[in-house]
Amino acid sequence: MMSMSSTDTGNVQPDLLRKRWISACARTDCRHLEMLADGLGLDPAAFDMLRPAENGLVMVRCRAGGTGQKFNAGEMTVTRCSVRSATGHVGHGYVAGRDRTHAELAARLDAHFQAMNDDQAVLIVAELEERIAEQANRRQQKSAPTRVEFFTMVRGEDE
Amino acid sequence: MEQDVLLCGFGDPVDDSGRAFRALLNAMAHPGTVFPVQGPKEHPAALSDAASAVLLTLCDYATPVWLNDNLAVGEVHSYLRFHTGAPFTDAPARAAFAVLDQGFEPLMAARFSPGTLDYPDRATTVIVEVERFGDGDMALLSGPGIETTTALAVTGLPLSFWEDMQTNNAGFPLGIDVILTAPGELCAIPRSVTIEVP
Repeated sequence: MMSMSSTDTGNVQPDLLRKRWISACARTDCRHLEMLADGLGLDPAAFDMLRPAENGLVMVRCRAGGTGQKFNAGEMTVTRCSVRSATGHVGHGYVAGRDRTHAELAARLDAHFQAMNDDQAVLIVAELEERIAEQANRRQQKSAPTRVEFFTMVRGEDE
Repeated sequence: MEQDVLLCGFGDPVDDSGRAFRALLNAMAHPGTVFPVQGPKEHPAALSDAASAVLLTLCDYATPVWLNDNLAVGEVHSYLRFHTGAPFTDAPARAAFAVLDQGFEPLMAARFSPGTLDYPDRATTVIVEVERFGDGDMALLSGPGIETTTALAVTGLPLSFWEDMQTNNAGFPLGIDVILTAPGELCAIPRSVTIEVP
């Protein structure tokens, strides 16, 4: 998992910021994105479909540690979509799973954020990131009590 | 962060490319007969809608594309790269597909790959843009897929093109296949036909 500071709203490079919002849109649930898009006044008709949403597979490659050999961990389902806004900005959405609406929303938001003032965009992105972190946290807290300690075995990550 | 503004391809990639593929199949099966083809939603200004449809339908990451100088512009590059993922090549002999707009220079055909006797399918398929079909220079085609003869009239091709194609087709089973494209229409001249220029 990428580590990401959710409160960083200081000066950021535009490329890095775009990376952040693309990632945040991909990881935020579809219903919340819909609300966000509605709140921003995004009109689906104002976007041209460059690449209609399509499902596909992406090979996930891994490396054990920093020095291990690269290997294919397996394929995951990905849905992608590309749109062009009325201002000529091209937005891409790549999301895990098969939700086409999610990919479309993510693509539209990407195009919209590019046309937006960075200072404004960073506020929205930070909010999304906070939400994602909160959800991950909640999930972790829920599963934490079910953790089993195997005293007879030495766990790798402890010393 | 400035990038070329991308253009839309097929509105419905699966069905639209299927229809274009059917037009191509018909054209290849009936050399010299002109078939209508529906273009993509948008296409680069340098390419006709028919040529764009052919390229979006046939090209993918495994088919190197060669473009002549007029066409090797950013708009065409980004269009094809985005929609097909096809790599570009500077060497005509390495291209799976080649696109030429107006003007087929003398002895052009010999610059492309004719395939090998073991793999004649590795020949280059050359897409040549023409002005229109129906009037202009006439050629008489005969051979597989043609019951007697088919007369093909094309505006926008130099006379040397037909001579070049005669030489090319004499080398059957090797040689290039040509797809002529005009706005909204296409027509195929595979290497298997015999060409007469009256």
